[in-house]
Amino acid sequence: MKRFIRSASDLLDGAILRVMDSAAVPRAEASVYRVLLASYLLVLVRPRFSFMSEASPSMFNPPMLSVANLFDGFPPGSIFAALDLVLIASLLLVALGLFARIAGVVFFCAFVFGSSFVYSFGKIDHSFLVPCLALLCLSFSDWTSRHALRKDRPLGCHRGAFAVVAVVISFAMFTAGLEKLLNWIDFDLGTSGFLAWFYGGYFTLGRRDLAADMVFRFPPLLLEAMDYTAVLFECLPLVALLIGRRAWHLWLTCAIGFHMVNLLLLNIAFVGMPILYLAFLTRGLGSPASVRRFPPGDPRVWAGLAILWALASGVLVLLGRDASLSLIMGPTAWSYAALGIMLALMLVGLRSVWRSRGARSGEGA
Amino acid sequence: MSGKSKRRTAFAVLAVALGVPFALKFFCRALEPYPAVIFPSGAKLLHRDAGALRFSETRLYGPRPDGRWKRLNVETFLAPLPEQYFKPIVDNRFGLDRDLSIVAEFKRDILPAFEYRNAEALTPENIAATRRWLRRRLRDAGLETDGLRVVKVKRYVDPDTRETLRLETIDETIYPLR
Repeated sequence: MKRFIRSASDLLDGAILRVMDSAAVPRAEASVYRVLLASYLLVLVRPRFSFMSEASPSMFNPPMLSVANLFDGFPPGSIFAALDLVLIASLLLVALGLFARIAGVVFFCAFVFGSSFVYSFGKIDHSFLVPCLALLCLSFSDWTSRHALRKDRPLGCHRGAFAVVAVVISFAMFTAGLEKLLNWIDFDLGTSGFLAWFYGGYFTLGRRDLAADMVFRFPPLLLEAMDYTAVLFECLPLVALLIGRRAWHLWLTCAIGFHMVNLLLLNIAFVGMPILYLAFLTRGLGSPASVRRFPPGDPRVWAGLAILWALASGVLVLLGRDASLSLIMGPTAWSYAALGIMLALMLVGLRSVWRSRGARSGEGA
Repeated sequence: MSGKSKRRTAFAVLAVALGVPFALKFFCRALEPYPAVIFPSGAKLLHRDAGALRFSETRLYGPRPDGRWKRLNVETFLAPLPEQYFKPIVDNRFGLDRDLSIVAEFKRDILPAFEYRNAEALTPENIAATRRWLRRRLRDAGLETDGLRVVKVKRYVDPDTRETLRLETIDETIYPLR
């Protein structure tokens, strides 16, 4: 019995180390990613709660197990307006690398507090939590070691923070895949899980952009194969993490492809997750050579970031898209913009898979 | 604490933080907590030989001055509240019906022992405030403010021709707002 417990605990230690190696991200790349993730949340997601001041009091129906259920009703509108300010300020601080760790924690707490009341209409949307949770976890990494106005004190858990984010992504995917596994794997060509998604979006939500019309010509065998592929894909990330870095990067790249197919056929532009995958696919972007070329204090770096930021905001305004908590598909132009983003991310993923060939443990960070 | 122990502790904490909320939702949807790392599964299955496709829709109508009902644009009616919360708000009857609200059902039937701290939300004053809220929105839409009609319909669509075959009213409720 003792021997069994010892070998089980050795196995667990080995698995934890393997996950940490697979998810390792060097500090330089992590610093670049800090700016990217905070900018993404600030420009594209732009979480805000001030609209809650318009909610009527008796609509308050919070999830039983949530922060909001500790209250008797919606807080006053001024609280939500203050939350908006806190969210914007904390994201700015994270992007600039100024008290980024505290700002990351404050952002997450403010987001969860505000969202708890938004979901008190009776519908919880967990999807937006994962990028925010990633920002919280990575606040404990050394992602302010470069490109930051003020470095945070290293806590010695840089690799652990990225490993936690990798496990969170994998687990989130698994939660979506498990129920599909129980329902969709039925070896029956007369049923289709993919079509249940497709028809609902096509006929009730008007998701008819890009390649949506092609689905009507798909043979039953292909539709069945799509169901099984989705289940396999969503249930596998933890296995990929345990196999090693290359398998993990390959899964992440396939995941971007998966979201791209969803965008093309189902018109669901879930850009948030591919941006999250990028945390692990940026090897080389913060390499000594590129840092030498653009040192952290170089005004060109900040000018470049400001231009990119302005461009991204400008594109959104031109598209007439009110970037909000919802990233569900909007106008056709936005579909093409999202497709462009995903294609670019896919190339980054492929490059990363290529670079991680023959990667050995321990060389990650 | 050694590095190994730290890692094991962190693993145990993470396993509980991720696993317990998911297990709660998986086995009892009413206990779905927030925050939790759970993605929507959308594991519905469509039977291809079932004929016409069926979709449920909820429609809102307000009274016109001539007494007839006019269909409302849900997005405009709720704005700035996001349209995606329309269905849960309607399912909760706008919080107008204390006895039949989802909260009350949970409390009465599923977990009678659980103390709901939000019971205060359904006070007569708050319900009156919600009636005023709905009346204001009907007025903004240029309609009368006597009542709000909620109709749940089932739409049948032919997947081959992509045409709507028929509409079937499933449920209809008129909320008096005076």
